[in-house]
Amino acid sequence: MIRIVESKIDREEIVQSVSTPESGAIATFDGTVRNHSREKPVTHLHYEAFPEMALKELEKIRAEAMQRWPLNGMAIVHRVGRMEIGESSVFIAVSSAHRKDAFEACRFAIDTLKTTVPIWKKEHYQDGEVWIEGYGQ
Amino acid sequence: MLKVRFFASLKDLVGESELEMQLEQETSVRKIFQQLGTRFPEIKKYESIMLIAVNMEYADLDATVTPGDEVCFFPPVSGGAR
Repeated sequence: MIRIVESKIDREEIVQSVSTPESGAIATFDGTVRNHSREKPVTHLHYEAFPEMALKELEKIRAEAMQRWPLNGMAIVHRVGRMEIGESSVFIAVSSAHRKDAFEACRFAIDTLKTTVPIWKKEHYQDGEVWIEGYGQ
Repeated sequence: MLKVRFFASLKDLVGESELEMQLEQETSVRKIFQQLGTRFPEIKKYESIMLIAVNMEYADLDATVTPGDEVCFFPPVSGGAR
């Protein structure tokens, strides 16, 4: 499952999509909207994507991960639009026979997503808004 | 013709998400960006940090574009402290 969605992320559905009888581990990453950024209160976020290309780049991440680790499945869902504090903006689920591979591939997926997938975050504050672009890189 | 698209802060700077440019023959992304820079001077500051995609594949300023291509300019993606 590789998706860009506008509505609330359904975590259970994503986990189910990678669940197989051969799997002894499902590692997940849930990226949630934080109420502060650089010591400033955040009221909500807005994510914008270049959806066609973002899907292609997400597929590439999955293909590379499936090649590098013995995985049974990988699902990545990113939400776009307005999100409130605590809501999930991105959810990744990875299944494998043993936990080490699932953990490593999950980490690889979110770290790579943050640098290659054309999705941008705009933070909204009480007194304004700012695009967060490549921050922390 | 060449289709040019902008995203996030670059879209805000340009004031529109896409535009079309006359293109009769092969050229480079750099030439296209220079032309855009005369029209939208503020985008020039993005030259060293922006990402470029030609037909939805990452490219650089030296990449070739031909009529009918789609060139996208966008800021570094959302990043985030690890």
